[in-house]
Amino acid sequence: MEQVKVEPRTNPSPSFRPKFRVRNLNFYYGNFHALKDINLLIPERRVTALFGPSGCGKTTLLRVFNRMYELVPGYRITGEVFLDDEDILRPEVNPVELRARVGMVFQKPNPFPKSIYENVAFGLRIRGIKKKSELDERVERALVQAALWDEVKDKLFKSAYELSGGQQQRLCIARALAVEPEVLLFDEPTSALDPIATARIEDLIVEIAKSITVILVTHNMGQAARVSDYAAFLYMGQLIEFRETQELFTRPREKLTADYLSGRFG
Amino acid sequence: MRNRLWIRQFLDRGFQAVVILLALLTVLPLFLILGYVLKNGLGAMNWELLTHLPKPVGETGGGLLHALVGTLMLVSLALLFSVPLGILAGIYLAEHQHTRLSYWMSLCIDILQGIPSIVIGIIAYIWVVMPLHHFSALSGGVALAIMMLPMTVKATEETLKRIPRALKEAALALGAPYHTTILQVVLPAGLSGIMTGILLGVARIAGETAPLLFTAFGSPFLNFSPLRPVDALPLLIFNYAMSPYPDWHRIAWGASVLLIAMVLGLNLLARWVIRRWKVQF
Repeated sequence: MEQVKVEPRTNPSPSFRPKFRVRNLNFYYGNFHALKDINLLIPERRVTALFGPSGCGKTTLLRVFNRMYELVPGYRITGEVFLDDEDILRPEVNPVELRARVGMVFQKPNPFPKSIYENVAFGLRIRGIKKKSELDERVERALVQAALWDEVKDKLFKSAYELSGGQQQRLCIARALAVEPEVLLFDEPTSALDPIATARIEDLIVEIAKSITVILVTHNMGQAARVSDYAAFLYMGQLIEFRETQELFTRPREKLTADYLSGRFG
Repeated sequence: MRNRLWIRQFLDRGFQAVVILLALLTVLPLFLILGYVLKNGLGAMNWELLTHLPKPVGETGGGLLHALVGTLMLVSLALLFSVPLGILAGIYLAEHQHTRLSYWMSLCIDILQGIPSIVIGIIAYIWVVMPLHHFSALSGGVALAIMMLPMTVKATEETLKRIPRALKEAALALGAPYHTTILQVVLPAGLSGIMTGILLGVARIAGETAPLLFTAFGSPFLNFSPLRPVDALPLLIFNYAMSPYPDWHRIAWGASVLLIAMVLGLNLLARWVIRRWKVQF
């Protein structure tokens, strides 16, 4: 594969506080160099979109933030990723505790084959919360936050599979919110949904980012433009450009970014 | 041309008729067996058969309560040994599909499934009966557990393999430790498949005679101790059918009806479990 020679612009406006700091990150699947020397600051309580063509490494990068890449053996990773002041790549960091702070919502809605209530309560129960009143309260709060409460409050104990795709995805968001994470990762959360359900999820992401840091992978540029405050363009494992979304979309500095935005490839 | 069309239609219809006829023929043996057993056995079925112990030779009447209790004990012991082992092995095989260990485990389990039941009986005799110095329900349970193990492992493995990865990822991404993910998310999602496999396994071992010949051995007494010999329905049928007493033949027919009813019931229950608990992803 041909190498793309660019100097990544990784210092957007200095006005935000970083939640994640990625330094010299390299990631390999076997011999495939999936992420090349990534340097990136993820702003706190903002939506940062990672976008680029298929296979550019955006999902791989997303899965670094909660170390979900560990599920597939045969990887190698170098560099540092700081969450606040802790390097999460160090082996002493327990991924189970990390994932309590950094939640994730997946491409396809993946509720558990349990009731709506139990789906949201799952993360609380595994953290040892047993008191019914507390569970009830936090399940309700999460469902309200995910803008799902009004639709499900009368059927909390029905199977989650009875909900529509968009509702299931909001349930997955509620499930992730219930454990009060500091960061929420979204991996193309609307790619399986219709436009109306997509719009609701997008509104929700903007709302969530008022209190939680959001990182959103999307290959829908419109979505990146609509919901994100900052955007990072990745191409073939490299971070090409990272700036405020509006600036990046209107005045891209890199030719590759401009070409991609104008639909010349990808 | 018209002529040809007629021939073609005739051949089509003929072929269809043959297929239906042969399909019906395959279920015929089942109905013949059921009919024959019911004809001979229904007359023997009565309350006394189910609730009484055998009478001394020469007296008519008596029942097979001891064998019923024995079969229940043997099946329970077999479940106790094979279900935890089988499910854990199945989880390993489903979770680690391409390791060397899983390759050899799968192979061994396939071979185990093919070992004749009489040989398993002898093994259980050597492992359990000889060290304890007498026949016992325990040894019979071990033999049946070995017979059932491959079915439990396969049922668990095949069911868990079909559970979407996304479900496991969802639990792990919530910060659930690996064992919680498996025990509270993956396993419950596959419960109907695993239960079905176990029920069919029980249906299979409930009728086994050969592994019990040198292990549970048989006994005319009511016994609840796992360390003493017990009778079992198939063992009783084997012993009574070979005896010269007509009244014992009658009881053997009754036991056959009972055994078939149990196996049928377990099969129907397994189907119900599939329908009722099946999780659609």
